[in-house]
Amino acid sequence: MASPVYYGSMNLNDNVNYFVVSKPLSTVAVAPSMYKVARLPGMIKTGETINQRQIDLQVRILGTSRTDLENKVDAMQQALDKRLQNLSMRTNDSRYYVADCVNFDSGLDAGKILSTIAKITFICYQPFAQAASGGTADTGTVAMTFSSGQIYTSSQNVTGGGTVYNCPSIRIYQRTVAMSTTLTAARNSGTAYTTLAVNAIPVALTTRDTLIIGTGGTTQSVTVSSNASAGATTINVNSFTANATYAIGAAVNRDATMTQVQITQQTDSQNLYVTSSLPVVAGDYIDVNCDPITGWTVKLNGGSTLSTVNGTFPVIEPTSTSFLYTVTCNSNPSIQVVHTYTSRWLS
Amino acid sequence: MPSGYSLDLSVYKSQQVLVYDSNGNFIDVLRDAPLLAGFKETASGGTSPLRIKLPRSMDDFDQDGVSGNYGTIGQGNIVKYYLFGPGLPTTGKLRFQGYIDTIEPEVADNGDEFVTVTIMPFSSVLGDRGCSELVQMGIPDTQENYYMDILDMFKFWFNVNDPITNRVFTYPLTFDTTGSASSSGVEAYSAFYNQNLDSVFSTLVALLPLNWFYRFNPDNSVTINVASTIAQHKLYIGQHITNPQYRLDWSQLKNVIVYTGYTPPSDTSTTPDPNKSDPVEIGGQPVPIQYVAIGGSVSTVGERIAYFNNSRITQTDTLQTLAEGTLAQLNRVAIRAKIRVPDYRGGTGGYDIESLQVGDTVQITNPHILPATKQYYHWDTDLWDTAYWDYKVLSSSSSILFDQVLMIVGLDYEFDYVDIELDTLQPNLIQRFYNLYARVQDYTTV
Repeated sequence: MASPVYYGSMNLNDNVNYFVVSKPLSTVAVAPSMYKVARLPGMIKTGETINQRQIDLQVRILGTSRTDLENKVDAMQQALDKRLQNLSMRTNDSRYYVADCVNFDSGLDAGKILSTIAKITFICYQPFAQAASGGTADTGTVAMTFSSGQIYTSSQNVTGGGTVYNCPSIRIYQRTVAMSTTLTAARNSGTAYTTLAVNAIPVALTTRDTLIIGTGGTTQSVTVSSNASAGATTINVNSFTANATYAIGAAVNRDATMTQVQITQQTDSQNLYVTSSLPVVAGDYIDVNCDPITGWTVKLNGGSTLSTVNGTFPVIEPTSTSFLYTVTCNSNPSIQVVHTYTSRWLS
Repeated sequence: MPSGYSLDLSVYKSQQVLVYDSNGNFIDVLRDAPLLAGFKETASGGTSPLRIKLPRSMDDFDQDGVSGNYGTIGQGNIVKYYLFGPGLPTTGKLRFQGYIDTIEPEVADNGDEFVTVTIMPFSSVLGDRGCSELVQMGIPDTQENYYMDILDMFKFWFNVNDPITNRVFTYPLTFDTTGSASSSGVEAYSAFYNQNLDSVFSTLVALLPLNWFYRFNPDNSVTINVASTIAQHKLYIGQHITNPQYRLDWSQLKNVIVYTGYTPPSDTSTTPDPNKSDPVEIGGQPVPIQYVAIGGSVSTVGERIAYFNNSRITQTDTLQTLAEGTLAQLNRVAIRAKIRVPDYRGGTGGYDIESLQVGDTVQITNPHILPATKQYYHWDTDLWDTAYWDYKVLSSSSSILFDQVLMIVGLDYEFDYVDIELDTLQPNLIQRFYNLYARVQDYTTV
């Protein structure tokens, strides 16, 4: 049974009306940037360019009569006239290119009433074939590891599959559980304290967590100095002098604001820095779209505002690719990272 | 260890182009910007604008002010090019920035649609800013305490507000205190009136001793310093250079300097003043005093005369000093070299082109020439070993380009290579000559 070759919904190799005579399995040409150094044998390479892919197919069209043959040619031309359709040619899987048919060359020869050979040219603006379905890599909720100051890290390996790199979408969730309680003893303005007396805290606190006393225009940030278990009613903090009087019942909340997210793709030494519009509370997330065609953007919680970025949007290589996430956060963060990607092939 | 993949930034270079509004708020990236190329940096001059062509529809190119657009293409938006790769910071090296000054959407004859955007670097302040009121620095007096160091004059424009804008004259540029000299050692009086900053800075550089330069940096700082006499970069034939070429240029040579000073009144005293020349008169009217300095090259290249005037000079001795000094600067062949240096990023050779800056000094070495056969051209030796202000040019030019410290005076940037223009460092004359020259230089303009 012939393997189908589809352009959009049109099967170019149905083995009844249309027969693909030949199809390519080539990679796309790589054009290196080269320069000649005076009196040095060979060339110096500074980079490379990969342009569009051209696919040439030869399809025999077979009719039962001349009229039928011409009708089948019309049907094929109509199907090929659609733009940016998926072109799939492989037997092993459904990988496809996104292509335009830019030329259809055929003729009716004397003595060949029932068939003709159509030479069809496709241009694939993106030269790599992509998988019909995508993949994901999910870290689940992970507690990040303290590095220094307010910097925390965690790592992940992702295997892209295929034979060439792909451009993923990376979603990073803030998973630090919220902590809210209230003071059971006031903190008076001008007085130094090293503890907070609170109602039983619902979740554990970790050294270096930042707590915000109060709400609205009068607040004070303090830093937890030693771990506190869930249920604790006393929180040890670094010494602070109250900047106002916080009465019994004043809110005490953990501040898990992120101030910078750095994604390092270590395999290719790529770094991306995100410095604005970052997750604050549990459930917040940023979407890092690494596709240069549709993205190179970072957005918070699915909104339209773009986060401030600098650096290189990372790719996933076909083999195991190492990622390091570095977050600057006011409290010990937990995150979840989900890579969504589509494997790609050189041919 | 390199991954072997084509996007490995431990081997290759990449860029990111960021767009901000005029207040510095991030807008978006320019994901379809071409690789950074096609601008020129000049020592003691500005950076040329960058024109980029974006493959966008003529009526929908993310223009500013349209609902649904991010608005990257808007007049006044700031565009910054960052480079990433081996030897560069992980946060990127800011290599070029400017503001969008021209937007040209187009549908070409063949149907191609694109938008050409001109990004103007902030060195445009040279032409855009200036003083409309008299600015005097120092006091024209013989007492040294009232003169001002030339570098302090330079810094003035970075620290003092322009009364028109109520911002410093050079805003948003800042003075590079780290890379600049702290002082020039030369003090003078100077006045500026109705001049743009290009004219002001040209005047200040002319007041400084030779081989001083200023440079606009991509981070909007401005450096002023003297070129290092020790090569900051060493480039080797057979390793770093594509297409070396140089030019020996006598076309700007001047070997007869006529320097005129003040115009004395008619000499009516009975006691001759030994410090003043007898005034020459034409038609009963006195003409300025003058001194003529003549270089030895007149006999070889013929007379090439130049005239200079400084109406503040009243003494012939001073005229002589200035004339002889000017002769020394102009009575020489100009050596200009232009070489292409490919970037080493790519992993197969080349040089770190991102470390090259205008004002840096370079030494080109040809390792194939045996040391015994080299003939060196020493500026200092050839100036000072004769009794006259003269020079020598070697009959053999085999080493005219090599093993000398040359200054980068121009840099044409292309992503994979740079074309640098090199010039010889000019002979550094004695400091007291420059002190004298600077004090009496008349730069008052109206």
